[in-house]
Amino acid sequence: MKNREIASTGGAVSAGIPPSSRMQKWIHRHREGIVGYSILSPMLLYFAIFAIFPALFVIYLSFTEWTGINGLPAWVGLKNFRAFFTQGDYVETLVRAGVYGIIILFFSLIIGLLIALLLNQARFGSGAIRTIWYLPVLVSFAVVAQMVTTLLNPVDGLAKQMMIRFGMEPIVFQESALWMSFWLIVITVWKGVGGTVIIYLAGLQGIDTTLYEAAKVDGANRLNMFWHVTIPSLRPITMFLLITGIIGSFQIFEPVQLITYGGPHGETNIILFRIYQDAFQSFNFGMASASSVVVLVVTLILSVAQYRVSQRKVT
Amino acid sequence: MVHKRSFIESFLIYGVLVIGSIVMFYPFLFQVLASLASNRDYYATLIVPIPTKWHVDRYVDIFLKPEVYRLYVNTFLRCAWYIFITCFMSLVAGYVFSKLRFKGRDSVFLIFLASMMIPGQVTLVPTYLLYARWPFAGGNDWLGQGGHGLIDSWAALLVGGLVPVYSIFLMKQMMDSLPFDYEEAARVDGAGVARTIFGIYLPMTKPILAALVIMTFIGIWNDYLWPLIAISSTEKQVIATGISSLMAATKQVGKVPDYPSIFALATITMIPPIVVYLWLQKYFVQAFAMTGVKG
Amino acid sequence: MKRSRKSWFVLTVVMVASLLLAACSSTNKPESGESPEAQNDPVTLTVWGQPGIDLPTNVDKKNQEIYRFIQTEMEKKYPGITIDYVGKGWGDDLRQNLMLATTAGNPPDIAWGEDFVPELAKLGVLSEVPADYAKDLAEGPMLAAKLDGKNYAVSGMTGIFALMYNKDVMKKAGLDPDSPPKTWDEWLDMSKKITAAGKGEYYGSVVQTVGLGGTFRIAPFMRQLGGDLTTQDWQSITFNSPENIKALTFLKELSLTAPSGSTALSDENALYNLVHHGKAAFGVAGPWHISWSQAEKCDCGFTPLPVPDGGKRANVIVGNTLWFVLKQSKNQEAAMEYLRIIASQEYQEKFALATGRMPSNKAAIANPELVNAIPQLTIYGEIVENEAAAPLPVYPKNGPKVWEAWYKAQESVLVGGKPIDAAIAEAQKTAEELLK
Repeated sequence: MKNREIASTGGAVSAGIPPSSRMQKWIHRHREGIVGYSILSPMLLYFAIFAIFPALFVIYLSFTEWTGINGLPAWVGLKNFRAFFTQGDYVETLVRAGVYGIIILFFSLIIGLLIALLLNQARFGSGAIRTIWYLPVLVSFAVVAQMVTTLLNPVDGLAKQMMIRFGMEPIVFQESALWMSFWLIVITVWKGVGGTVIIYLAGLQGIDTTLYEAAKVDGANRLNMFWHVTIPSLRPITMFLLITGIIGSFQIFEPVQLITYGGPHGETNIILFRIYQDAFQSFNFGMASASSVVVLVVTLILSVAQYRVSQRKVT
Repeated sequence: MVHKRSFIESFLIYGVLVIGSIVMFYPFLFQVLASLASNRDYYATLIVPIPTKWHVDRYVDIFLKPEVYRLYVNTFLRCAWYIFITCFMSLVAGYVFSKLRFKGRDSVFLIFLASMMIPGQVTLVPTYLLYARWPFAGGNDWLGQGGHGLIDSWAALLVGGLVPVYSIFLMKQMMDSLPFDYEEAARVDGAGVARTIFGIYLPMTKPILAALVIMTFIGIWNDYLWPLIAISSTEKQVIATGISSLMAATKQVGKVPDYPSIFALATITMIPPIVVYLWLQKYFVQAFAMTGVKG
Repeated sequence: MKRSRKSWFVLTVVMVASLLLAACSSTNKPESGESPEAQNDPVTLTVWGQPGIDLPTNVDKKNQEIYRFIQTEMEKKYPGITIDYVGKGWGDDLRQNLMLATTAGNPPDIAWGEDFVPELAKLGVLSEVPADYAKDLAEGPMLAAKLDGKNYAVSGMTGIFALMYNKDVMKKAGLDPDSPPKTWDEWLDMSKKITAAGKGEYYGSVVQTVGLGGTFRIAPFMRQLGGDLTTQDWQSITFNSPENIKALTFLKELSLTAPSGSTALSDENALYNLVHHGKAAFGVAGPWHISWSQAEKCDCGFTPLPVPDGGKRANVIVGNTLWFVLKQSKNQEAAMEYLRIIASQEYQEKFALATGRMPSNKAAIANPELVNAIPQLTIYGEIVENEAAAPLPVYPKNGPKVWEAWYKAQESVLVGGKPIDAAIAEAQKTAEELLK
């Protein structure tokens, strides 16, 4: 209610009527603020309910034991956090998420940059090629996963048939954590690298051409120009991709949930799938929340560290 | 910077690009051909399945199923709603954060940005409870007890993510790059806030809006986890959950499963996002270049 | 003019946003129409389960008749009643859907599952079933429906394991299709011979290894030797008993004769269709395989599970569907009436005739007509009579986690190549910690 009043007065007064009273003068002076806050406050309210409240609630739940079905959460102090670091495979899954993330990030950046550089040089067909690289980003992981599991089926999957046809001893991928990790990484890179290409491409097109010309005047050859103009110009974008990528590595979820289910026997499990299992299979909301808090803290630390590093290098 | 390029150089550039593109495109080619092949052709695959007889009937069958229609309609409605919200909110909020100057503006913006660091899955549990315990909804009393709240209702599909932070961020970046002169001119003209945003800034930010439309459409079209958890009735299913359970059902049938139909189902779900992308793609790179994603 | 437009705009922004918040709270009201005061209106019951558990036969006319029978019986007390059957998966999927719906507050009235009744009862989400509903039901199947001596479900049908053998495959491998193996040694021997003879065309035995389905088919062999997952009272873990290790050692050897890649399969349908379709000779199978193998046109025989040296016959109760009423259901009486019908002799006989499954109603089991109609059931009847059988245990605490520890052990041994002692010891340690 209150917001609406402010909003209507703010709107009514601000159109250049000569301020006669002190009140009106105040309103006139703060016109931008009034308009700004009348727009922002419903958003902030929404934000408080749908983003801040859940985050705070997770922190609260992490100190409790609760199935969510009946009764209220029972306070258990640090028990869940102790369990996180001493029991089960929590730490393992957290580390594994990081390792997967770094490998995926590495290949995405290298391939993305290479393709963007080449696309930027291409004179024709670049639109079509760009579209092809972006296609996997457009499709649903749930659908991709169903196809992958069909193809990799250990008994009658096409992958097995093809291995037999080429005279190989068929590999049962599902038996091996290494193979399943391999597929996870390949599929995730395939699915996401298009986005990296587009962002690098945008970056390359945004480089000031006068820089190249200046370099030319200085007599730089093309390798020099690449090394001293292109690469430094792309550094902010690379930093951006690194930060979002490292944060993103703890957000890998769908390929594990939909393709490996964490298997074989939990050896490709990662932290977010672990949280999902705790929450929606075991209904152990306390443990799931405690793991969530750990992920949150790790993400925050990494973001701040990354931000610091990037500030230092750029300026 | 136009260089004379040697033949070998062009050959290398296009060689790598073409080989890479073939690798990237292979799964799609495989999928479309497999969806048209018979089960026998599928198993005879050497590199891609070669249909001996083209089975277009699979697609006809899929589209004759009323439940597939419903998935399409539901998901399109959801996409339309979120595209509208995202464009509207990012324009308005982007304008506020970029062009209006007032105390506390940057702190609010920072709070919004900080929330982007929280992975959605981490707050899945409280978000689920928030919907389930929403007061006065779905049979709940004022304490949120007794009913199912917003779970399994259209609200569960439509009220999340109404403040699209990333889109607002992109729009703010874009508007920052526009000179303040427009704002001055608008004020001198006495144009209201609404006219300033929708009459002056909207036409200038079309590339970003196009990019937002693409990204929102893809995001909502492919949204899987939340509908999986929040929606249980069949008539409110969306395409990602609906199709993947149809696919799983295909594999469950006691007889030898008709694998190609899995690929047909996959193909029909991929067409809409690809069409939207092709329609708006010319703005896409431009949009990123304009905002200068620099972290 | 300008002024009003501006305020109009700001107002809209505020209103749209706040209306959205308010609107969503009212969106759903009409849906929750089943309020208790509307008792004169026809009742609607929602039943969750997996109508497709007998998938090959569920489009069958006989199967439709069962549903019609229930409808007619329910109409006697509740004229005009509507019963909605919703497929919500089986096992873990069903459990997850049920728990989610209970948390949200919109569970079905009735659901039927197999392995999680005591767990749900402990959470207080199930209604107690009157003792006289279950008085005609066999003891064993009802064990998995109890918590602290009270019933929370009725058993609609039950099952036990036998060995299924594909006669064509045995013939092709030069074995007598009418003398299936009786001991572990014979079974292993035959499997090896068949795999050798098959040269990649057909194989010896399929061994199910993944998750709960795997445990169900491993436990009988541990019990034959006197081992088990827990002590009799389900209170302490006995994963690492020497008997269990011996059983796993045998199954590991057996799994080496399985069709290549099949031990990694998590899909039960695909796994047993290998036997039905002549790619493998032996598989551990419940009574639902009778109609299933027929639907797949397999000339399959059934025989009691082979027994080890020094072991005795033992088994696990499986395919034991337990029907329960959710406490949050607003139609308690009608739902309980539904359960009474499920437990009745008449329904269970009809169901058995339609699907070839075993009734748990004692009067229905004793009906000779049934055995005449489905001769293969004789074997299963014999097994029920002569083998000690109990359901899988229910852990007193952290159930899903304890299971996870065990699955990991079983899978890393049978699918991967982890040494049995180490895997089992690790699971034992984890499980013990979880029970503390």
